[in-house]
Amino acid sequence: MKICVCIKEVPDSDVPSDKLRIDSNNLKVLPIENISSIVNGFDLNAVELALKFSESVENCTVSIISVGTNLSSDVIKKPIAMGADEIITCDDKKNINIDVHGTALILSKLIKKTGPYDIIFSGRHASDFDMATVPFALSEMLSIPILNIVKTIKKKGEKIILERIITDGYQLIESKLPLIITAGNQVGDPRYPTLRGIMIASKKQIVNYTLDQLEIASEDLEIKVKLENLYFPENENKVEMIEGSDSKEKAIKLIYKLKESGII
Amino acid sequence: MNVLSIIFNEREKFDDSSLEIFTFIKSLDNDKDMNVTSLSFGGDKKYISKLPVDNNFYVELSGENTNQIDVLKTIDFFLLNDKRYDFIIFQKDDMSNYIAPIISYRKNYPYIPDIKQTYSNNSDNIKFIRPVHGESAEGIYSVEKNNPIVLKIRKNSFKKEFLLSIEKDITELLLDIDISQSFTIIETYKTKSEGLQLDEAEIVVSGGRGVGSKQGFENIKNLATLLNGAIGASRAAVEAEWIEPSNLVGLTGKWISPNLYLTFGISGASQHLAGCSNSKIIVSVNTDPDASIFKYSKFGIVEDCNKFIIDLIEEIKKTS
Repeated sequence: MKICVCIKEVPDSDVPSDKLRIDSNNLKVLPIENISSIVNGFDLNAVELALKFSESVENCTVSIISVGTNLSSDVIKKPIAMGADEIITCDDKKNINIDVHGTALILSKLIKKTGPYDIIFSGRHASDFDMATVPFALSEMLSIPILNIVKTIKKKGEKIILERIITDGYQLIESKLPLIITAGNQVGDPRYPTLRGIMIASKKQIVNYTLDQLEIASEDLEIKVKLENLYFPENENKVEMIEGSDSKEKAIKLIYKLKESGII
Repeated sequence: MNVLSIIFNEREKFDDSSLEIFTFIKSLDNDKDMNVTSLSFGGDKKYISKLPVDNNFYVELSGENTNQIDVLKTIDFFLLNDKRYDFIIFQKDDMSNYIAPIISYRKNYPYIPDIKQTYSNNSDNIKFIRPVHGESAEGIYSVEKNNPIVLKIRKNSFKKEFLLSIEKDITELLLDIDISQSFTIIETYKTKSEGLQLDEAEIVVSGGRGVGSKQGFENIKNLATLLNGAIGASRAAVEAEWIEPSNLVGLTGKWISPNLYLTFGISGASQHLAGCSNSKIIVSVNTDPDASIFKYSKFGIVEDCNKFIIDLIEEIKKTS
């Protein structure tokens, strides 16, 4: 079998929001200086799900696919260090301001060029623009059905059985292949790279395709939904800190305040 | 102007958060000739027939195992046969999160998810505000009006419009069944969250990493019971398995808007705030005076949350 995982390099989302800056020329949230970017967290969950699946079937290769501009090889090679087999990118300076449509189009061409894949994985959404759209656009472009927020996959003959997370529980689903799958944190923590994995990753050549090689013209990447401004919303809230000599006194004061507000 | 709202009632009766769509529709335009159509999937017809719309279509669902492919096929057919819409609008729920982006790409219509506000509307384009970067920043998105536009609104960002007082006619349609059956939903399992329903409770008591243990969460449950409130949790607490995933509040969990939201040992990551920032009053207890949750709270207490909650429970019992 041949499977792939689409990953995106994003600013680290685990830093306090007041430390983030905005690049107003390119309308992007910038990572803090000295803190490197990361692979989108949900994409790493997808890598974990793909690796688990590949270990449960015979002869399964896992490819990593990514689109961007000036991708940091240390960052996007992390899935290789975790155990994936190869990495394919379209790292092109013309990709700087592409939107979900452009990203999905380039991914679909990369997938057609290097596939076919039995399962295409990705994170449920990227932590920078939270659109949760690219995997669905891919599904339409490639005419492959999609199941979102999948927790586990098992092979059963020619089909697969999977658990899909819904708001109040989960669904057990049987599906034919090929299939697109998105993953969230329910998959569990992504595995740590091993020392051997890190060495393999450092030597691994990234297979890169330019937009020209993928026969994508600039007009194909036309933006339909334009981001015009990006800002941090002002927080006008004023907190009242409740002081007191000990925890008990603060509790009594809080109850008084809440009763005064008519809440309890 | 013609507007289509597509509504999924994942509960047996009627999910009244879909009424937020109609307040949003009013914010699109002051057009007196606006014609609103709704296409509802599932739910009790008694409620559906009172939706504040001009044309009301209804598709009955056979239960929880409805296949998204069948819903897509039904909407495809509906869009081919009904009039042209300027806007096709969804609420944020499991089915819409799946259907809305697919419809947009299938039809080649632009798509904007998680809208919290209509920013401006003129003859050529319309602009919307949506949160980005785990709700820590906001973007203004502009789209030209030469095509139908698919929109999905953010939960709790718009008031709920009222249902009509009388039942009006609805047109029933059948769900199209896709025979390709690329996937089949074998079974749907609903895990019951502990305590009251989170998104319906007036008071929610929530615990985070600072609670420290499953045992510590017992006090969160006790306080929730005492206040007749629901139990919430941050992702850290759910991942530590101190509480069920269905109690998760945040970007990837429940979106709540209670009168009182009490947090214990929650630092206030923007992903968590996304799910609770519409609470009327947030009260937060944290040992770290710089915890970002305080910036969004009305009252803040710097204290060990496990000690404070015991004192709070004791004092509430004394006063009631």
